[in-house]
Amino acid sequence: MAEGLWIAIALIGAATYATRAAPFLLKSRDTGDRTARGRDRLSAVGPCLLAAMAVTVFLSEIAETRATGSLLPLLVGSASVAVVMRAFRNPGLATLAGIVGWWLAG
Amino acid sequence: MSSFPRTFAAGCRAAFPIVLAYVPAAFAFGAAASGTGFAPMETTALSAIMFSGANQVFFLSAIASDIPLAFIVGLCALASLRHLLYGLALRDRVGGSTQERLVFAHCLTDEVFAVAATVSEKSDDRPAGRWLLGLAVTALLSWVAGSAAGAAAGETIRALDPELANALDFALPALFLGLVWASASRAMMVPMLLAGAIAAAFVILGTPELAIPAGVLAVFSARRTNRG
Repeated sequence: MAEGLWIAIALIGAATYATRAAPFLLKSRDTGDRTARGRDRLSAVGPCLLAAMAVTVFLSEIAETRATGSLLPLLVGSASVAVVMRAFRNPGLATLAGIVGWWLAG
Repeated sequence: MSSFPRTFAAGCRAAFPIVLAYVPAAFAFGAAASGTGFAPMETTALSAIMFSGANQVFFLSAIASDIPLAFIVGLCALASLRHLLYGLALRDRVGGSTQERLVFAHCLTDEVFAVAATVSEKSDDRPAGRWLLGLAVTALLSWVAGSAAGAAAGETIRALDPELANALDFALPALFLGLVWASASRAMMVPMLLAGAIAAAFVILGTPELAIPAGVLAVFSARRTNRG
């Protein structure tokens, strides 16, 4: 793997660790107001990032699948993910179900 | 006072529900990574270093989309800012030495936070540092082991069965779908739908490289949504 990718991985790891560890190094004091002010937007960053990325990935998958064959495996795979998520709310199991669904319909 | 092994083991046991959720998700991530050129050892190292499902899935997808690395790092750092809230919420409610807390911090994922916060609320005593370490190490090991198993299985399947290998390429979109579903809540619905709509518009307009950064701007709708 390229050196640049490892540097990026290390930087992301360091940034993630910094956000997790910094509060444990700060002196204890009341941060309630500030926390409340920032909470809504900060907690929305991850879900918004995931939603934007998911749409981008899916639109690219649809374009690729339409160019090479049937959309049926994509539809069955996605439906399998939805069914398992509704039943168990476990993204890992849902992903495995989606792969199996795609494979069976392909 | 409880012995170190007993308290550590109690932390490990508290991580059991996390293990049940992490192993299949990490396996799926490993299988997806095998399709983007990562060797099993590289995938394992990536999981150990980042230990963040959302960042790892985003990273895989972003490098496959040729998004500049500096931009990927910036977006991942931005997405990680929510962890500040977890630390702020926990720091006065958990015990342990500074060293124990700093080790625990590496593993402070959404799920680990949920378990630690729940236990600290239910108990009169603050969770001890050794308990935090048991919880954290178990969660990390399950994630790393699941990633390694998924990467090894993915690589083997790709070598043996081309049809199943095609199905494995669906792992990344499927994992995204699952993670989006898991993140969706009444409060997040509007920002997430807006983020998806903005991203879709940029893809349809022929500028997919702008879809994700533009979509993230939907966070500015979160406050109004949350407070009705």
